[in-house]
Amino acid sequence: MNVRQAWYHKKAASVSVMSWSIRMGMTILLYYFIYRLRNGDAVNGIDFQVAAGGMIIYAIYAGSGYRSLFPIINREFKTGGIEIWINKPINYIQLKIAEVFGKSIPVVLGLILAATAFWVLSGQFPQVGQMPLRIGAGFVLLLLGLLIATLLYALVGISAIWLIDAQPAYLILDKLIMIFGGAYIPIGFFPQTFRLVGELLPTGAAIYVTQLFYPDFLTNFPRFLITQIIWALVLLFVVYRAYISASTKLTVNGG
Amino acid sequence: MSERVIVEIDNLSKNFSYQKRTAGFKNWFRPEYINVEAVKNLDLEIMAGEMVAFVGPNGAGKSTTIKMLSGILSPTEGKIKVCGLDPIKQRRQLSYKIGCVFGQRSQLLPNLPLRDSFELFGKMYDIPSKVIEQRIRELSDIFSLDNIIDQPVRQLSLGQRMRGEIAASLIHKPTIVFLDEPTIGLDVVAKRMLRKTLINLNKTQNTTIFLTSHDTGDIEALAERTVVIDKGQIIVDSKTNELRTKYLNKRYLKIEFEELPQKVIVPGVKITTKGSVVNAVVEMNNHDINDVLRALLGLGKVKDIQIQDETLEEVIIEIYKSTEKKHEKPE
Repeated sequence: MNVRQAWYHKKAASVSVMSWSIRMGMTILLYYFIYRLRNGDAVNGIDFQVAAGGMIIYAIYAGSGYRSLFPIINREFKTGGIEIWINKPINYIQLKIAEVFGKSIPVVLGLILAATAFWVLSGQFPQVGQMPLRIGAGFVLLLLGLLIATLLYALVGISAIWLIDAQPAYLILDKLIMIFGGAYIPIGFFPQTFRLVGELLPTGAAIYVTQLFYPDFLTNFPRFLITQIIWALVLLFVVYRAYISASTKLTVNGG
Repeated sequence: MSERVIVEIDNLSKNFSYQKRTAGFKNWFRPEYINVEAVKNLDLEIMAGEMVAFVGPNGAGKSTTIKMLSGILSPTEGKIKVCGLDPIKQRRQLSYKIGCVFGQRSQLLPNLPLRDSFELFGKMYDIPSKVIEQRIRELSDIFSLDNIIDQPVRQLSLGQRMRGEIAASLIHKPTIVFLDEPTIGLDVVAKRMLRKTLINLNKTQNTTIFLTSHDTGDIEALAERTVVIDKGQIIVDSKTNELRTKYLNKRYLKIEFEELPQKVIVPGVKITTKGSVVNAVVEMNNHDINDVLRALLGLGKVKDIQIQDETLEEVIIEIYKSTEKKHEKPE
């Protein structure tokens, strides 16, 4: 049903695809010039194709719409709009997750198409080995990462019931995911300790998939997987408890 | 109407608090809270198949009660059973037995045809696709939705949308429907159509209807029983058609004479004249209607006469006022 809604919003989806493509295109162009200044030499073992590949994966990941979970839940908890869903035989959080992902399917497809076009036309696809294995492992990390991200954004959305204005918490979370996802600077450029700390945080664990083309990706995969499973379980418990607690504190039209 | 109790409310209370605003930083460290009792020790029973109006001024606790009955808000104290289930502990099971419509919020998918919202809700209630289709046809007949079922919701008029909202809430054949101000913002024609549909629904499917409304037209047209709530407490629980006889205090007389009477004075009766028409308001507690009529009819030759009751709206206002007075009286 949300895919059908998204089809009705096709203009909005097209604008979203364009804006993400332009943004990523500009960042990739910037890094292209930086690498040219270094005569194409790798930075911290990351060459231009790998850095650009990570950014493209970040754009597709972010296009999946998990970020819009916060404003929806935040608004519905604060305004009482949740009341129309809470008396239905569904889990409210699951419904909202389905809603945001359903709506963003055309955006994700559009971004995959744009990325393919970029790689085909530029010939800048990362030259790394064991691609089928990487894609398989990356897919697992993508799903678990999206679960962690949606739970984090849902948690910040629910926190509106106590914080009243959860926007600052949202901004901190959003920027942490962007930084550790390599939206601005590839995480491979980070000093080793900083990178490790970032990867251990849930905001970093949410977005390991951007390291798909990194030389050490398959070596790090077991550690990434264990970290993700731990965070997913912890967050599932915390979000469930927070949701139950917030539901009892819910106020609608005074009462 | 069957004699099965469908809603049982026992000593129900709902409090909420908000932080008191004070100047300076005092409230940062030791915040003071103001407690509000939205619903106080409410007791109520509703039988299956009843149509009950839950009436009260703004802030009386109507919506809070409806939201506790539908499992949205948790009570502070007391017990609730709806269809034999606890709305908070058994929210999921209860959701299959209740339908809810909140007049000020839409549950329909705004950009998609109305049919899609019905299909979505049908899936939510685990109804097989074929049954959903059949149910859409039935509801389209009952609510006259044939012409609008494939129209995007945002293009519907308010009256059409409200019919859609109520129909959507019935997709799973609930035993009881909670309607919170269902006719808010509707024009007279749309209101009449909606009321007819609800009566039809109650008669043909024995659906219990529990509604809140500020529109006395809804109450008169729909509800066999009216429960008046004020300041979180029930102040009147009566058959709607008995409200007037129980609480009626005034009669309005309108007499048109052939010629304007010279002097119209009936001691203690408020009288106004306009041309040859005399209007009199008779306080039934203080006067005998026969005495007033005799005095007025003796003024001249009568061309036309009308005796009117108070409107239900005025009766309800009287009820609110009498409660206000009780609250104002020092103990």
